[in-house]
Amino acid sequence: MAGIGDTVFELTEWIRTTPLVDFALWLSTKEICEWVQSHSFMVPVMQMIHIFAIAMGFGSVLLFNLRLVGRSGNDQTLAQSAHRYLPWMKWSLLVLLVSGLGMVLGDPVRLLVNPVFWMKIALFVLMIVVSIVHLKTVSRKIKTSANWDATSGGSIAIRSSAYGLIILWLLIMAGGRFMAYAPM
Amino acid sequence: MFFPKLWEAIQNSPLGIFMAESPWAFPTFETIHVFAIVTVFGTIAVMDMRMIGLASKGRALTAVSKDTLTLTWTAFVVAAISGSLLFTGKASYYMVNPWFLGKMALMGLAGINMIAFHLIPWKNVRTFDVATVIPGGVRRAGILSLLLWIGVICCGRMIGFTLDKYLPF
Repeated sequence: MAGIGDTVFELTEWIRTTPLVDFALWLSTKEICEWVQSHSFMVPVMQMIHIFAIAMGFGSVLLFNLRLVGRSGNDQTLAQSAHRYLPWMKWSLLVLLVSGLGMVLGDPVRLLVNPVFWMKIALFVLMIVVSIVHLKTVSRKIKTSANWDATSGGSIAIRSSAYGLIILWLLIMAGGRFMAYAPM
Repeated sequence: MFFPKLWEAIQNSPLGIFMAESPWAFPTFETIHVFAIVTVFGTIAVMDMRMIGLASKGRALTAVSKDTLTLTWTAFVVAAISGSLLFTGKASYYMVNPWFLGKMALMGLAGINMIAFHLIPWKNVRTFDVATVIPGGVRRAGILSLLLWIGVICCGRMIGFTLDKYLPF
């Protein structure tokens, strides 16, 4: 624990030497930030929207990837499962970005000058990259053979990225919660 | 407030003191609580949307139920345990917080709705398992469930903003 704490502390010190501080301060004087901050319901409402988007996105990631590894929903083909859950993953990501941006406007300095925020963003970018590669691979396999299934093919790479994505989503959520407690 | 002594006793127990004073315990169990509630809501919404006729239309209700039920219940147990731990640190504050009490009431209603659904329409699930026209009672139970759980999460998020606004003394 102490090791992580020290790293976070050093990262905070470093962020304070970057132009991010000036940017966050500049942003906080903008009209849109003042508008968000002057409406006390805005931040809680955006947090609620953010949570619902996480629930829909994570629920879809969970059910699709559990189907992929053969642990749930085996009555449907992979293509059917993808058709059901992929649009929800995409739309939830859009809602997450918009509501997340809204929360940054609500408190730019506390969030942008925050090491845990940037760890979360790094994990989010990684999750997007892994998702794109993962889903492209799966859809290519389905296209070449309609009956292709990771459960029988046993592709270790695809199975591990399925579990990896679920873990990445959990880590991103943990980042979201822990950034409220990060040292400033 | 009902049983004020009980909530004070919980708050002053070694567990309550630990939850209030440990620098890592609250954020950690709060994070676990978030993992659990997004899983509860994410999977319940999949089932509810099938019941309403908004999604998974081609699949049997029983198949969607089988997919989601274990996940929903496992996550619900994790949410209840982590939530109870969060509660112990400031028990008497939660017990006077209208958002907390509202959240508990909405969860109670969601539970009643679920039991009623399983006791009445679910008995005849074979007759509409794959039907394109979903019976009104099933649709209404789905809509009600979705609305109640949305309410539970909204109230839950408000607790964090209001815990020091309502004092137990």
